Amino acid sequence: MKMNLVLSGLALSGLMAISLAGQTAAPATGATPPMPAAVAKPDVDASAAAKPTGPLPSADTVLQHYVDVTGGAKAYDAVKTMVGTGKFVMPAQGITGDLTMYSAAPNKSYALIDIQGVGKVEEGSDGTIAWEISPMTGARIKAGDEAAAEIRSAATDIHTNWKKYYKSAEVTGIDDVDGKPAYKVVLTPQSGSSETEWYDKDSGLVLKSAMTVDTPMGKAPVEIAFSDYKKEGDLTIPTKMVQNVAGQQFEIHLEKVDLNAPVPPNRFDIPADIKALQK
Amino acid sequence: MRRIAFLLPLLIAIPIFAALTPEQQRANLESFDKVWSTVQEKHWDPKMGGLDWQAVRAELRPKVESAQSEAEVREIIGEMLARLHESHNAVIPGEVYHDLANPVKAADDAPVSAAPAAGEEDGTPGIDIRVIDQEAVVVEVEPKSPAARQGVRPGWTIKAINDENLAPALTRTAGTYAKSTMRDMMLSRVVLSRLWGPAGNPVDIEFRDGHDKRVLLSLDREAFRGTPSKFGYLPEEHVWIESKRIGNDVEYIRFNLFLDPAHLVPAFQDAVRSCMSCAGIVIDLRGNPGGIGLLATGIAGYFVAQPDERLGTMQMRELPLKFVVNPRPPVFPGKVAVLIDGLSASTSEIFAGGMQDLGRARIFGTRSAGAALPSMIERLPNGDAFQFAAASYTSQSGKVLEGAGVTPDETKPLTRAALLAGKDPALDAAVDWIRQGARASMNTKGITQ
Repeated sequence: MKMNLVLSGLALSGLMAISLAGQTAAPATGATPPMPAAVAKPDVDASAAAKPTGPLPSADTVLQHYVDVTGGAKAYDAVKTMVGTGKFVMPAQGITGDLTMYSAAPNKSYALIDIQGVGKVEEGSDGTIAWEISPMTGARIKAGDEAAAEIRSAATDIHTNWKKYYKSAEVTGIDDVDGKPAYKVVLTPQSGSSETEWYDKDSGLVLKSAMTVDTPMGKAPVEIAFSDYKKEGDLTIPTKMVQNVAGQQFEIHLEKVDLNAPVPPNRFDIPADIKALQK
Repeated sequence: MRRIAFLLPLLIAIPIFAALTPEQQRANLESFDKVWSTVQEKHWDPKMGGLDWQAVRAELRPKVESAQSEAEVREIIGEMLARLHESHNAVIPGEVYHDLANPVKAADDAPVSAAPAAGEEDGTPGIDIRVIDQEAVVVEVEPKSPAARQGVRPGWTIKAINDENLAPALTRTAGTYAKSTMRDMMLSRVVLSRLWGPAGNPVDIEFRDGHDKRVLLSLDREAFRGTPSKFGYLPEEHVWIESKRIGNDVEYIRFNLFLDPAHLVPAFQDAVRSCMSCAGIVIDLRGNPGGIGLLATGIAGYFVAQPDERLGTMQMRELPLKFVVNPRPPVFPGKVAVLIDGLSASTSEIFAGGMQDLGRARIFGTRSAGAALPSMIERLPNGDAFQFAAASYTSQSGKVLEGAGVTPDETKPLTRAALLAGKDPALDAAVDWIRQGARASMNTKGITQ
């Protein structure tokens, strides 16, 4: 599974447009708390990109290197489930929540964020149907490219078997990502718009990804910065993800990750509110 | 509804002519620059409709340099904002700013909409008011509140609070907002900002009762009704919802804010589901200043059966955000009436305007506040304040709500006479409409026919 946890519906509904007369989500004094440097949007500067000293590597090489430096194919193949807990934060708005996420082979996923002042926002997929339930906007079944992207990113073998999910991948250059030269890899899925990932030229770790989230509420560019890599079991994974969606920032801080941990037996079942929509 | 509505739509030019000191001139230039750069950086349309914003600055800034009065500076800044052709951007004169704030605690540098410090504005005598015909009229007395315990009744008027005659401030504010949809909201603010205060700290009120007899009362202030709810950096708000059955065929639901969805939505759902066979539901949004914008779609989901219907679209700088309704089956099939007034703002307007556009609800009451957008108010270096909305919202039919409000299908203003008689013209009209004819049927979109 990709550690991007895009939360596509939440990403847009997170732009929840505080529309209370006379109030703004941030203090109206203009005293919006400064964004910590660590959560600032990653600076990608193609103009300042390191000049390739030779031919670019193939995407296969870059992607395989990522697998190698984060644990190796054997370690990835051994992962059948993952359980993570952590925090969800919207720093500029002062909104926080507790995050719990589950995934299981081959492509099941479930994420719950209990947000202060909002309640429980859930997203999930049983590998066939992708859905979302929010106390603000209700329940909905995802469709089209949005559903395909969520199910694809939940695949436990997406790193080791990427050609199953993407019809092509190409290294298009070297960009500077927060001062680090990074290979820019454009991946084109079997359906939907392309995704771009930047891999650290030196460490091989993914630094950033960019994609377009397409929901009924709108189509928005999403960028995710990955950092704070930690070894969990036999894998090295990013534990901090900073998403920038249309100028709004969301942070996910994974505090605990258990690989191959037990998952409640009905965890990926379709919720009753979603079944009601299928009738 | 606590710290309601401080959105100001108009440039107000109070003609105070006095020679400006070098310090004032400097502050005026800084204020001009702050307004200009805020619009430049945050306007929802980066192209500003083709307006050459740099040229506007080059043209108008020299006029500020040579301005002879604060009023002239406001006119120039107002002219700059007027080039955007949007009603919701405004400069608020410092004098009006003070009328809208609690006069006791208003500080020169206090932002209008900033949260009061803890304990400052956490008490109420239990009265809600509207300004009707330039008089502050009690429209509701909370049961068991200090006001109720001392016999205050709907229809009474308030002449003075803590020995301050309300008439001058109401007159100033009425003049300032004479052409604004937010007039009612701002007039109420003048009164409520004086009624509210620290819990445990009594407030002296001079009333006129139903016979116009002078009544002087000292009322305690007690905690606001509802459950405290905190959402991000918004100040803590007390959120409540109530419902009741009118006869056996109409459900009446009222809530004060579109906040705390984890508790509000289940309670709303319980009320709707308890009455699925009712002829209709009345949703009373009078006095509701809004909250989380998208919660409007979540509430609409109980009444709209067709997927992908929209209440409207909020155009933000980065993208258009469509307010899509996700149906929440089983969808209520009967008639829906929504009550609004001049204090119904923001998310209330998004909901009411959207439901009206979809043909799913009939709207009763008076025009809403026309304050649909998230906005900020900042103090300027010269002492004025600046309101700026960083988005644009249009309802599904293309109506711009900001500065226009939602116009009821049936206008039913509240009157003092009706209040004294125990009547509620808007609610009565809504119930009558629901009971007219046979039970409504819905088309495939979930639209009442």
